[in-house]
Amino acid sequence: MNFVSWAFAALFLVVFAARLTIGRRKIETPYLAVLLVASLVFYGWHVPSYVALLVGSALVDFLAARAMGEAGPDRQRVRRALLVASLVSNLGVLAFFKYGGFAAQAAEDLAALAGASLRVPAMQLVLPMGISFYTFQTLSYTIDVYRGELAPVRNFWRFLLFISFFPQLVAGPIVRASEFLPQMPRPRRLRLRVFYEGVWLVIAGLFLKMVCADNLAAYVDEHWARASAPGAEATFNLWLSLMFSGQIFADFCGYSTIARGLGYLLGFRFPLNFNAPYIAGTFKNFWERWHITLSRWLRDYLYVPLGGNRGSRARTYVNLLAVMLLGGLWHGAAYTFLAWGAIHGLCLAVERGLGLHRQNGLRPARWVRGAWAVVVQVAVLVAWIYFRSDTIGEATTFVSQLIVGTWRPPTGWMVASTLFLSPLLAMHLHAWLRDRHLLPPLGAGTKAALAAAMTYGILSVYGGTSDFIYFQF
Amino acid sequence: MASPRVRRRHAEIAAPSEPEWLRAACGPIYRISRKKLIYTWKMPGARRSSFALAPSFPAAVFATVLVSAVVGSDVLSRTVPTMRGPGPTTMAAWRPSGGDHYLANDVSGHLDHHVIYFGTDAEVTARVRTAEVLFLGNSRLLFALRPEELRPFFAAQSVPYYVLGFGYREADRFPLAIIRKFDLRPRLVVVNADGFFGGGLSEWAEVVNRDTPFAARKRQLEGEAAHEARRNIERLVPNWLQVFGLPGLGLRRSFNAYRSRTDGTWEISPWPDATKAFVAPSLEGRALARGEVAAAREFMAELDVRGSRLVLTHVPTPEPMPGAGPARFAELLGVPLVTAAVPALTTHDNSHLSQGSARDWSRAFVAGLAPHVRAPGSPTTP
Repeated sequence: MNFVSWAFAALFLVVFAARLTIGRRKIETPYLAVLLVASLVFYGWHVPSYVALLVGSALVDFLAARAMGEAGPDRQRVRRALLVASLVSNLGVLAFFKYGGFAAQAAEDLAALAGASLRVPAMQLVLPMGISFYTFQTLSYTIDVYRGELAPVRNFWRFLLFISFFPQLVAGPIVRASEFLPQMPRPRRLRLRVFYEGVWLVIAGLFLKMVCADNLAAYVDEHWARASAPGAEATFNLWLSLMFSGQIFADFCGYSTIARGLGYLLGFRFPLNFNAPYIAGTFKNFWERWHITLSRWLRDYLYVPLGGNRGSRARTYVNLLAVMLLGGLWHGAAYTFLAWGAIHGLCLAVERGLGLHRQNGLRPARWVRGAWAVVVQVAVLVAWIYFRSDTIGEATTFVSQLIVGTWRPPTGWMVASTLFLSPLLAMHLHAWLRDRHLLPPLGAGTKAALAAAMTYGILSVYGGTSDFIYFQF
Repeated sequence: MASPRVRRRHAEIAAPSEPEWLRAACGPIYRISRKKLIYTWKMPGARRSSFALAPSFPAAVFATVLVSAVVGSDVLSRTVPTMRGPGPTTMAAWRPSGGDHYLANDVSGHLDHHVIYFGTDAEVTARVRTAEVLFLGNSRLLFALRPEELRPFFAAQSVPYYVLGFGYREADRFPLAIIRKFDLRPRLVVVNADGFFGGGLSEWAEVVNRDTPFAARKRQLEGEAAHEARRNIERLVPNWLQVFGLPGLGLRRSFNAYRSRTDGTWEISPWPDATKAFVAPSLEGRALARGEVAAAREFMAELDVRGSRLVLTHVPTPEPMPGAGPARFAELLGVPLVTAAVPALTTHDNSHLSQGSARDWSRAFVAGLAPHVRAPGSPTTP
């Protein structure tokens, strides 16, 4: 089910009615039951049979974690075996649905390189919505229990609600068990201030999606193929890549913002997922601002276990590259996503090698930081071109035209179309000023006026598409 | 779970790994000591805090600004001619009354393929099954066949018919799949041979191939609800993209199509007034391609098995012929080609007939088709 649909609006109204009645105070169980049923309906709306997959995945992790708890800290071998079983089952399902086709394609490509002919029969499977997101959530739970950082949950239905909670089920934020589970037995009296904050976030998210992302998508979808055609102008390609970088930010940040707002309205709090990533001055800082919940997941469950920066310099660079390659692969089974991850991994390694990642003490001179910030944003833009393109060749042609193509002043409509980037620019400018304590936080009245203006924009300037880009991941 | 009082007793510790801005944005992070260490976010409003202004102040500001914007834009679009745009907006358009029509296509989605293929509307399926004359073709046929001309003619003949054309340049594969799925056995099949034979599947036919009956019902439910909501909202707030278009992409004014459950004809709303005269290209077109010949023969063989006769036609369009001309297919298959000579044809979008021309063409076409249609019980004769 899509947030931007009337079916979702109807479902949410039912759940919110439950929040206002049976979910007002500590009467938890009926309210949680409503949330659970709504979450399963939300997920089953896509492909009903995949609810079984979600429940099965949750059951495996629930049982594995409970067995780990019963085994106790002394029986480390048993605990490890249970963790491995959980990892294999979760990652196996993910690999089957998401990477089966890619693996077959890679095998065919390798065979072709070796001069042999190999045909792997293609599987026509619908990817379970949000499988990458909920797999990471369940993995974080079993790993935390294995490490002894979290006590196993005793109630399966509560655990299933953690996995399937609909505001963040299909595209994050990736919430950890240690953040979500403690919120369940809490008193959740609905307060007006929290309600306002939730409504503000929902409206802001819908505005980002329906006005900015969907209208930017109209330009990107219309013109993307032209940018890699012979004779494309550098100005045009630069404009188009800026439009896509705006689109993907507005689309994904929009979803996360709506999810956080819905969480507030239902009595839950989710971590921040985006914080004006395009003002980042370093690659490290970019990943502290872009898809924050994914980057901290990769840091805590992949980068640090691989050794992080505790080993040699070379080992650190290898770790960075490996983590970002896997991060790219997490987005989708395609060479273009691998290239996107590789660009970020290499840039992170170079940045660390040059010592440009430091934020304090030994940080470089101001002009060096300024110049590096430009490099960072250009590299991020180039990486987005690989992310959006269908093939590596198409992306490389796009980039080469951007470098060697002719520069002409942008046309009037190109300039006018950046109107849909202006709200994103304003967001980033506000965040930049707030970071430097040059602006106070938005007051209640300002937020209300802005929310009304955005609501008017949603009603009168909404774009044509409604699917979120990250639904496919 | 620790109570708020217990929680306050614990030291408030910011997790050192979390950056300062995250702490600022999300509020303080409590470390709660129980049997295990677990982190939790502090809910905003968990502590009682007072507003500097009345609690209803934000709601009042919100309502004032929104109502001002809605009223202001309404006044502007009524008083300033340039704010009205060149014609009626898509959603505020008229919808046929009486409940005979379902939504087939609108600006944000297309339901027609799903409704017919998956049989989500029982009456449509029943009418398709009992039709003795089927009209197949693309959206040009659906624009051209006007119910006000077809209905009286077929009612007089007492012959049930159904216009089973599809938009998105649908060709022969999808209608053939429907004929097989519902085991249709019409007496007469009329095909608009305009890129029909060997044209493959349209993008929506591909979607149908991937979807399930559940997905089709869901799509129809959501599509109808969204359409009605938008129609009502746009009566209040104009969609400025429908009025002015996107810079550089122009007005992409779409149309709403509602299909009659009774006979499958489309009602178009709004049907633009703008018209442009054109001369239709020759019916010969280019020579037959091998794929077209094979597709046409396969189609003909399927109709033969079902005891159906085939008649070809061609709805005039200013667009160049996408494949071989209908005259060549008629010659290949040995079937009649029924055309209608209408003077001064016009189009509104360089593809489909304008409303007036569609009516004229329908009238002339029905007259030409009459000899091929007979009352039920008697054989259809050429």
